[in-house]
Amino acid sequence: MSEVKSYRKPYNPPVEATWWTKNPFYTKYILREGTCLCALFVAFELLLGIFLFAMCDLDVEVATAESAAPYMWWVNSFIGNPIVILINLVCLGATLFHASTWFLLMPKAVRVFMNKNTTDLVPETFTVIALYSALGGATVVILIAAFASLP
Amino acid sequence: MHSPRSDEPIYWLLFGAGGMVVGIVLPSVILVLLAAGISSPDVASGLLSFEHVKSMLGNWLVALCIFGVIALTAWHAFHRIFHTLHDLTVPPSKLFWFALYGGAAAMTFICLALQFLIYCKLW
Amino acid sequence: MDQKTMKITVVRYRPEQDDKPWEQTFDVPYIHETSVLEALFYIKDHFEPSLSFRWSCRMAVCGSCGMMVNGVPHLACKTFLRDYEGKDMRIAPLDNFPIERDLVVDISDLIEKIERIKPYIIPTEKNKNMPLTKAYRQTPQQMEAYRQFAQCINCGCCYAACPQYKINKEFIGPAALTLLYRYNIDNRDGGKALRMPYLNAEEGVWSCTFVGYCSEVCPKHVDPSSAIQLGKKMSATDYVIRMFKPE
Repeated sequence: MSEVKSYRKPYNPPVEATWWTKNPFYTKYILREGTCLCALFVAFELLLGIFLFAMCDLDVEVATAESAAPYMWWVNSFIGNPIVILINLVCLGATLFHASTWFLLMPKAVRVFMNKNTTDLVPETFTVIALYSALGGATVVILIAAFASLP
Repeated sequence: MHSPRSDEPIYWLLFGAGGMVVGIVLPSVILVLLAAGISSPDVASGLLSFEHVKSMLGNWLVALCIFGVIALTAWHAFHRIFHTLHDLTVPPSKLFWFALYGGAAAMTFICLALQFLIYCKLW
Repeated sequence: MDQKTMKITVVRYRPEQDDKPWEQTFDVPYIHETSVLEALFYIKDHFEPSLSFRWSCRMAVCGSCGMMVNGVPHLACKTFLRDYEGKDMRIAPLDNFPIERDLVVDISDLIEKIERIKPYIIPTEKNKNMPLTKAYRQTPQQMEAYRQFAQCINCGCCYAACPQYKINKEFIGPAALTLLYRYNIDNRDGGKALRMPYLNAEEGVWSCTFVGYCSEVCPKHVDPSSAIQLGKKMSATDYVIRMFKPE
């Protein structure tokens, strides 16, 4: 054993719950994670619509305002409510923010060579553009399908 | 030494699929909800009117897509909430785990059951 | 010569007399070429001989001089005062490691984790008795597959940038997981089965939430967050295969 007295006394800084406010990069990260609350709201909203649709009288030949009352409350008074419209607008912004961060990070999880012999990887912009095209394509398809299937 | 193999891959794969759905599909779904909310349809005509939704949920392909969107979005969101609680230095606990992933499983099951019920009645 | 002055605050901690870190401010003259490391030399030579910090190569190869400059992990030798012109500078020891003295942190946890994941080529059964020139030949693509991930100099900047490591010190962390992945995808290596348990564990890739700041601050552009996401894909693939084909 050494006779020399040790003066070692390592200092461990405490972990603060507010660490993510100290650096804009971390704040953006928590915002990105926070968008899931908006996604969850939309999922609940859709599920509520389906639930209330199931509550309607589906056995009648021709649906009336009375037989479809639960669902009509959802579509007119719930998603038609100005506050819910406002929340949905916020959710739209949040999902688009989520999409931008998700698409930007996706190239890091895709590391593929252009062909068997080259040392060139598939460019990052290629993946990002493909994802934005998918967003654009899905939007066009869903909007066309929604309006084309109007009764 | 290392701890045993994590079961996280299951939840991570669901989270990843959900992230894709939220990024690619959900914006236009919200647009449709907004448009329907503003146009206030009646029973027989208009966007998301009763008859419109009836034709959608009566079509097995459309119904399956709607189920996929709701279930994957739920898994995505609850997975993120679980990990963000840890980020905000909430001590990890089994209780949170069961509550949150249980929530995702419950939403998946309820959505499936309701849609199956509606589909059978309409058919 | 165009000489200016910058107000530099340095975090001090002397274990034999201090209970917690405190700050000391100096006015340091600098020119276009002055690095943060040279500014620290100036402080040590002219104002405060007791100031402790680690350094060796002065050219971003040894990885000794990682520290927080205005809250961001940097190599002091590769960071220049000219880029902070008109601002004050605050130099602190690397985040998320125990502070030993002044700007010196104890990175033995990082070293232990790098050792743990077996960061060396483990020969395959076939290559064991082959001459090196035969067994270890690679095509340019086979080398390019891992080259970027092999540039790590163990400076610890990514650990200082990682909130998950901050909260959970069990996490193997960016640099070690990157090295793990780097050896796993090296076609000369036969040790993947030995490393997978570390990758698959909770404290392996699954403690990462893809914050991405490690890749942002890495002075050697290693991109650890990319290696970890690819590691997650590797672990998930392995998980699904093992569901149908248990060991």
